[in-house]
Order: sequence, then C-alpha cells, then structure tokens
Amino acid sequence: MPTLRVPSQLKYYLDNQTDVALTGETVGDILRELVDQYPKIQSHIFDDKGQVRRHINLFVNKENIRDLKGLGTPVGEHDIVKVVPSVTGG
Amino acid sequence: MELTKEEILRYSRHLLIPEVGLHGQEKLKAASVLVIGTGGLGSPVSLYLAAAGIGRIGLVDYDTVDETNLQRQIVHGTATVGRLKVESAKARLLDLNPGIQVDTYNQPFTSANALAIAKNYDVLIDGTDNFPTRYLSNDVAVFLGKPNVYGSIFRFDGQASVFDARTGPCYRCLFPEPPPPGMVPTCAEGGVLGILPGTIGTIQATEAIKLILGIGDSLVGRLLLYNALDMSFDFVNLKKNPKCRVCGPNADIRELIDYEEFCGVPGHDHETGSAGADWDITAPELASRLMGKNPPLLLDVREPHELQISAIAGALNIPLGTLAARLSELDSAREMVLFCKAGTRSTRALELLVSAGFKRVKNLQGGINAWARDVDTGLPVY
Repeated sequence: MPTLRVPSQLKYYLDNQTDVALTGETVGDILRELVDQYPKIQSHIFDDKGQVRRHINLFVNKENIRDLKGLGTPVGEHDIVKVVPSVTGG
Repeated sequence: MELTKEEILRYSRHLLIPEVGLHGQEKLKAASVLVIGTGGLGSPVSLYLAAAGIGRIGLVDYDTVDETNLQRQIVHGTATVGRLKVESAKARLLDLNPGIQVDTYNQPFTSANALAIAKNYDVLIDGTDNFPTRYLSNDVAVFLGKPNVYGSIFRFDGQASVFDARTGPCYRCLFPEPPPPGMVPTCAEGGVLGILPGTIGTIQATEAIKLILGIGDSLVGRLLLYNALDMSFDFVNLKKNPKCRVCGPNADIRELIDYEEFCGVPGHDHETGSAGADWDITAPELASRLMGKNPPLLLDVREPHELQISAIAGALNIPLGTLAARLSELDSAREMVLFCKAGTRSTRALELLVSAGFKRVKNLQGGINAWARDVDTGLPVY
C-alpha cells in the first residue's frame, strides 16, 4: 500500500502517526481515504471549497504533484505521498 | 583581500582543505552576509559565519534577550538577558572573532527598510520566526538578485533550502500563499526542541559558505526535510513555479507589499495575549470575579501536558484543537473565561465560540502566565 507521510505538526490529527498506509491509485484517492479515516485533518489540508490549501505541498516521493498530474498523479504500491506545509519557526 | 599572518594561523584548518585554501579564505573575508533574525536559527548561523571568517556580518533584530530564549539561542547568554539581541550577539561574535565586522540593525525588518539594508550584502539568511518577514525576505532577495538561505523549524521538524530566483525557485514558488492566520503554530505557541535550530541553522551556515566559495552542490532546487525524532534527512525537488507572482514570467508583484496584511498576522511571534478590549478580562479582575457570586466557568484550552506546568483549580480543559468537536459540552448561557499560556490560543478559541453563537465569553488577557505574575505568584511562568 502507498504511504502518506506528514510532519510532526500534523501528526496530532492522525492519532500521533507520521506515516499511514492508505489505498488508492492517485494522490486524490489517497487524500480522500485519509480524510475519511482521519476527519480532523481535513481543514488542515483542504480549504472551505475543497481545494488543497496553498501553503500545503504534496510530493510523490521526490516530485511535487504540481509538476506531475496534480491530484490525478498516479501512486504505486511503494510510493510515499509527502505532505509538506509551510513552517514558521526560527 | 589578503590574509594577515594572524589570520593564516586562525584559519589554518580551512587553509588545509583544498576546496577552501588561501584563495577561498580570502573570499570569505571579502564576503558579507545578512542574518535576518538573531534567535534560534540566527544564533548558530552567525556564530559559525563569524568563526569561519566572513568579513562582514549584518544582524537584524529588534528584540531583547529573555530567559525563554536561552534554551536554544546560544549566541546569547544569561549575562545578556534584557539586552538588545543584536548587541548581545555582536559582543559574542566579536569575542569569537575580533577580526570581522558586525553591523547591527536594531529595528524590525520591514518593507520600508529591507531593500536598503539588504542591498549591501552578498547573501541573505532567513532566520525569521514569522510568515510576514519570511515573505518579505524572499521578495527582497528576488528583487535584489541575491540568494536567500532558508531555514524553518517546529518542535522536531526542520526545513532548509537555498532560494535563488536567478537559477532556481524562490520561497513563493513553493508556498504561493501563507496559511490562514493561526493554522500553523509558532514556536512560542507550540514549542521547539532547543537543538533543532542548531541543526538547521548550521546547515544554513554551511550553504552560505559553499555559495561564497562556489563549491559543492547547493540546496538550490532542493528542500531538506529533517525529522529529529526519526533522525531522518529527506530531500524533495523544487522547480520554479511558472505562476510565481514574484519570479515567474508573468510576475505581478514588482515591489515590496504590506506583508502583515498579506499574511494576516503580525511580523513577530510574540503573543500579545489580547482578544481586544471588549473581550479581555485581566487576571486581577478574574480573581475578583471568582471570589464573588456567580463566578464564570474557566475554560483552559491548552494541551493536557501543559497542565503539569501550571493550572487554575476548577478549570475545564478542552484543548483548542478539539474544541470545535466538543461544543456540546459547553453551556452557552453560562459566562465563560477562556485561557491558555499567554492568550493567543484562547483568543482563537473565543473567536470559534463567538462564531458558534456563544455571547458570554471573555479572554484572560496574557493567559495563565499573567495569572502567575499578578495573582498566584507561586505558579511558574513558562
């Protein structure tokens, strides 16, 4: 199963996990299943219109889905979908 | 810029490295770096740049050193608590290396002064602690055509990159817009492992020195994702965003803007602790109300582990992150006073309750830390 990975600032919405295994053939599928299983994370990734928030980047392995096929980017069995939000601390 | 005999001795371990050598050390001596922020990241960055012999280091900060800084801001010390951060840091850097020049800017880095300050430096270091100053630093670097060595941290996670719009993406290519106000917590609200800025800041200093020397593969076009808990270093690739509003082909932002308005938050991570005069109650006022008839319900919106540090007896604990899902536990007819550590999270909780129709709600101005200072002085401030 593909893995979705979040930084620690978001793990609190995933029952304290940074990695969760999810099923799906595209990044969009993976995110839908993520929100189904962990509804508390929805507002941290999606805005009120259901669009991915602009401070959130999604990568499949090393590549930004913006440079691939967006939420339609295919995800394979061993791929890792990385959620990379902006971080402010310094 | 030739080295003196004393400098040849001081930098001997650099001169022995073929990639640096005498010529490289002369480049470092001739270079100038602006460190924006003299806090967690700015501390290791400025210390290592000074030790490495960067000829001129600029420091921008308008804050003073306080006790809560010292867990991670290692350029300062107990003896400099209360002093201006730029002066505290300058003294330490010149003690480490009297042969360099340290310029200090004891002022906020704003649209009014940023270009004038930054234009005199070769490399910019983003060591800021808030989104408005991050976007400002990025745009300044893009407009001046300079590299912006980026780092940011939260709890156990760090990010680092080199944004240089001349050859790669900028910060806005990656993050076109800031998060909604309050969605991404600051270190003042959520904490940070003290060593984390040491790791990320040291990487920023390394990148700055590589850029000046012109050696190695820089982080241009790559974002480092560091997790101290897993001890993992991961990299993802960054490309220029063709829709970038400052460095894209159709850029429409051509001058500095109002960054606090753009981000909807202030250009610092200090907690003001106030929800506005109409909504605030001071700690002494609350103490008096709790002694009288019909005392309000106290609602503590901090995380459970914070109750081990300090607590007010009788308060109901519902962490801010779960409040929206637990509104049914609250009686909207009962007057409530909300509090957290210093008043930022309770202000957000108050906004949430008001938008849900609660009318009899107040914010404890300055949070439980104000209560500890003004009422129950036996409690610690954190």
